[in-house]
Amino acid sequence: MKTLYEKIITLYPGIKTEDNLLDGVILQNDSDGRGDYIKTWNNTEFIEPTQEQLDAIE
Amino acid sequence: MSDIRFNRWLHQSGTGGVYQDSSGNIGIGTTTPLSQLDVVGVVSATSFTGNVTGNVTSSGVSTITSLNVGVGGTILTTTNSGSIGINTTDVQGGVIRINNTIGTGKTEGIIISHRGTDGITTTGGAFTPLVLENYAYTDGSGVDTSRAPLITGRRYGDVVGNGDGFDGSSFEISLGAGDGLFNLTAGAIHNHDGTYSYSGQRGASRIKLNDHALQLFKSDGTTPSVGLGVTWQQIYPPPVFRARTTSAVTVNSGTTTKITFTTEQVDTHSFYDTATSRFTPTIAGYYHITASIRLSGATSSPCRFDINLFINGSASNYATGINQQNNNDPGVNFSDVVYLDGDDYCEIYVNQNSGSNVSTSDADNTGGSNSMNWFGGYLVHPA
Repeated sequence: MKTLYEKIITLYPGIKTEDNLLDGVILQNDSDGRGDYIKTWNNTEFIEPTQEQLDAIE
Repeated sequence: MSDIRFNRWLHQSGTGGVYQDSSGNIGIGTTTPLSQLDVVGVVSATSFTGNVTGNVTSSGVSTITSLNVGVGGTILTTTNSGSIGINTTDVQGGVIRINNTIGTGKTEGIIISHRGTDGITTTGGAFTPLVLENYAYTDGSGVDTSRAPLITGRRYGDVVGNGDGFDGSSFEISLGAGDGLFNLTAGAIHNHDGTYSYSGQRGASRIKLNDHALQLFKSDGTTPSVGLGVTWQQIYPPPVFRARTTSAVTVNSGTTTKITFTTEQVDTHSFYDTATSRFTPTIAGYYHITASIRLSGATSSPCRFDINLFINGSASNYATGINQQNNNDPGVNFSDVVYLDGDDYCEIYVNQNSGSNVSTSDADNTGGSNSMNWFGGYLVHPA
């Protein structure tokens, strides 16, 4: 099971920076049982993926 | 004819009468008058007028029901060796001593009361009921070297009666409502002409408690305040908390993840909530917030991870650590002073960019007291 970080990289390989971060994207996990989620998406090159797109990635 | 009146009764009735001796002294009720007028018995008069000089002595019980002294007159003047005892002949070390053994109805010793002729007036506040003066010897710079207290309280606690020892609660001042009723100004020298001299020297101790603690208490249960400068500030025993992880928390790469510290070790004011891992101090002020995190499983090197202090759900301050070697379990300490108001809350988040998933690392993650993953803080200064 891929993490959200891994799913986004799978979907958009070019979004990964040299230091393993996601360019313009902040992922967060509040340890409240909801898991990882996209806190902010400020990347103009790649469109924020839908939940359906993310769920389709194994 | 005058000789005829010497050493004889001028008028006699029973055992009393008026007698004049050979020196001219008049005795009433006595044939041996000791002064110009010597009365053995009770003197009644509508009033006495004129100046009274000399000593008034009595070996018995005397009662003056009313004593009016004209403007500029003096009720009583003592000499340097004189002293006054009210209801006692034992003044001990005092110049004036009041000893109340008169009766159960007397619950207060000295009452100094001031009010206008029509009762409470707006001008009554200008009256100072009690002024204590001590012309203590001072050195050349104006410092009082005698250190004698202006007021000393002695409260004798004992089982009924013999008056031995103090009971410890020796001095008590009860004030009414309002601010600033009890003001202490230490070190200033009040000159005889009413001016103040400081001479660059003031007492180092404004309020000094020898061998005692200070307790501030409000009867309504609210927090007492003390004045700092020109403002009143509430004071508190400083809140302190420290909590640690109980089990490992997974931190996915590139994901800012909240660390849950579910074992509370110190929490003096119940400001930390283990259910939410939030520190919510309800006392506004400056807090020293600290945290320590160690991660394991970081296989990429170098990689970076951050401890983020979140305030009210948003990233505020952070500290960064670098993992220079694979599987080296990097650790980072966070330490900063932040201002928190009455409803702010703090949380700790961690971010790492190893490219893989790692977890908080600690051999004692699941139990020991020396966890390396902890979150703590304390109040440095109230607002």
